[in-house]
Amino acid sequence: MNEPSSKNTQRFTAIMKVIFQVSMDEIACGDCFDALDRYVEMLRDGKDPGEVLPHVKAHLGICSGCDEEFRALIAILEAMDVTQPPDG
Amino acid sequence: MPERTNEQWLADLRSEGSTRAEALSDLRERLERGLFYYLSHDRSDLSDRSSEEIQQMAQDFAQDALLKVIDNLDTFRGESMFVTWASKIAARVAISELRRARYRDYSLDYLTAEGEVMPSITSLAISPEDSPQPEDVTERADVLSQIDDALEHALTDRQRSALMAVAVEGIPIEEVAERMNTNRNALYKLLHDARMKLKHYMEDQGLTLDYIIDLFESG
Repeated sequence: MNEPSSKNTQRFTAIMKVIFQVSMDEIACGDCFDALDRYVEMLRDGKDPGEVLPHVKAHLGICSGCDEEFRALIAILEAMDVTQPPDG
Repeated sequence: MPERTNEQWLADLRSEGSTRAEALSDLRERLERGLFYYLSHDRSDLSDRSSEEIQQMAQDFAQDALLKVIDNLDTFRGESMFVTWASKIAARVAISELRRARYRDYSLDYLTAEGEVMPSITSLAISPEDSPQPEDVTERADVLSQIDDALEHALTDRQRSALMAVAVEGIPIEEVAERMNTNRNALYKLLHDARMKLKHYMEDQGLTLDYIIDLFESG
């Protein structure tokens, strides 16, 4: 059995996956951003947004720029829930 | 504070006087709160900043986001809550501005400079920490050579540079796009074309993903 591969080799295989798993019907960053608010709300409502917006899910899986914005949006919305001042 | 409906947000922000001022203030305060949390909890690159600095950043980003929200009110399609949509804009503002500052002095010139050692996808797979089975060493070298051949012959110089910058160097796509005088969307499509060409070229040479993964991942 081989030893576990190094971090760089894992990066290599990750890049190979992104290359070989290319699909004709991918969306670009603009379309992903347009749908991101809808996508995140579904997630926060306990639904699976990947079922309704599979192209967004696929894009977030390979575009680290869009994934970063996705995670930031989740954090920002959670903060609004958590620190919402009580009605008074 | 009772939550405004989407229609109320739009109406208040399009009105005048104290109604508009109050809506702007409410939105700014919420965006600031969300951004402050994000910047102080989710950004390890800001861990050395004081709370006051982070507060100032949150204020600045919230203000910039607010301007973008107002400018783009007509594009809100009501597919989500207004505050979610506005927060999305705020997330992009914060991330873009932090990236711009981080990569301010960064240049891609080295990718096309003569005599420079190019970053390469295949060099990632040659690591002193790996200890492949002896019978795999030659086979791995052969496969890497085929991949290098594909990168050399299947792509334009522009496609190759973009791929190295984004995939190997990990430079954010919008920073690479700016330096290549294009936009993020166009660069994504350029990389998509590059990936298609590489996939077809390698498959024509008999290389498959399963074969490569088997050869390079742990058994």
